[in-house]
Amino acid sequence: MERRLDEHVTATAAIPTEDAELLAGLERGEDRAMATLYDRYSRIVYSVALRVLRDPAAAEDVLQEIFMQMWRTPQSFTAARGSLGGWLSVVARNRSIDTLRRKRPSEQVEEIALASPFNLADDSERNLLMEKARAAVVLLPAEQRKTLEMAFFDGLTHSEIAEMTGDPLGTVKTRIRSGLSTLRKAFQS
Amino acid sequence: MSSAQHISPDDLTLFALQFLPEGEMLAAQQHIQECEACRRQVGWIQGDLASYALSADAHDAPAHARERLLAAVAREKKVVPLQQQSRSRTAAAPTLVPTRRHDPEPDYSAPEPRLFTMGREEEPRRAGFWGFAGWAIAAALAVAAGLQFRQHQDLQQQLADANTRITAAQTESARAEAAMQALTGNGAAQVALHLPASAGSVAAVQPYGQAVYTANTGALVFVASHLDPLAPHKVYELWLLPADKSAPIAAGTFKPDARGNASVVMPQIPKGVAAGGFGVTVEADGGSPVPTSAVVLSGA
Repeated sequence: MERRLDEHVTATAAIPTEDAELLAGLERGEDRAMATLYDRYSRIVYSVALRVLRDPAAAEDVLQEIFMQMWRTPQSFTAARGSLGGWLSVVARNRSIDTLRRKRPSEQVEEIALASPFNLADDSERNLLMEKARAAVVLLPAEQRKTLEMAFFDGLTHSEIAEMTGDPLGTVKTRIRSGLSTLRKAFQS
Repeated sequence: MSSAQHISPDDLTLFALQFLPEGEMLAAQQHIQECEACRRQVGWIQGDLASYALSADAHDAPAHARERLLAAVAREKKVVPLQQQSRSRTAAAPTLVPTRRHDPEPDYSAPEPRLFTMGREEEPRRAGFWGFAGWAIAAALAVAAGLQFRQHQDLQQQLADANTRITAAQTESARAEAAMQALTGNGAAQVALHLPASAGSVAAVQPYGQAVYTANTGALVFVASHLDPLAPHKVYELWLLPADKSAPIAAGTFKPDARGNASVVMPQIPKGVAAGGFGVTVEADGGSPVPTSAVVLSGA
């Protein structure tokens, strides 16, 4: 079963061809490719940044920073990163948390290929997945939902969450992992 | 590698969320680079986080952000070597590259056909004064063309900047209009904020604030006066206290001016939240997702 799942991911996690072509366009210095990628993914990036930062101006700065990074070093956004849209949404969250914490951007995590079977390059699929994500989050047990929200969107570390909620550290860690695991199952169903 | 050497799933999740302390983060990164199984796990977790990220309420970036980006891109125009351009194009879209039509090879040994003959052979050209003058004129023209191109580029840049400013002004105008609607709309509720009784202040002029809020549009305008100056790296943070007693919603940070006045206009808050009241706390610079200090102004 696990093997079948892995095979599925390997087969479908490749970056959509059109994204790869647009990234190749960025390497050639084509600003039209940049505009297309922006039109495709700015909504996701901005929405995540705004949710974390709750400040439109700061969220716009994160949006600019991410897309300018893509323009300057498109080769770092290769097909090895998996889904470009998914990867951008995670980068948007990480950069926003770095902004909140006044931290230098840390890229260790972003160097790892992201495994996602979803094609966010397609408008309709992207909208459908956003709806599905919201519906799946609502169905999470309340503690998992709250803990996940505090960790991902509020950028509170597991220690900070444990301190704020009074829950044991181990419970907080498990809730974060279980919440993500439940979400994965909901998306696969 | 035995399973005992792998990083636990909980810690891999914390790694993906960037929550491990710096030392552990580097150690985990080193392990993950070498361990296929853990790397794959992190890839899955990143995929899960990407799915979760999609649950954020969708907001379009402001219209001027696109212009701003494209203007920045134009400023950082890349110089791509021709060879790389052609190689990159060929690699990216081989079917789109038109193939050159094979014309028959010209016979260079045959004499060049003449269109006009004047009865005698032309003498070979000599580079005299007029020859040099011709080169000088060509060079001057090239310089002039270069200057004109530069001027054209500058004008284009100025136009892009002007467009960006116009878009920003339009956005600001729309924001001001929404703020005006918040102040004058039928559903607007006004809430006065004062020092809480527990503060026990004896100052002659006490700080106060006024919030105007329209729940269905999420429009909020807040003004405050006579605020105490803040320590460096501190800000005031406004909170919307939902009527259903759920967690306070951050509604913007602000710092008072030299006279103690401050305002928050149209912060980004969810629509449709019935307000039970508003509060102001002092937080670290950048604000906090949850209130962490005593309330300095409140009203319901």
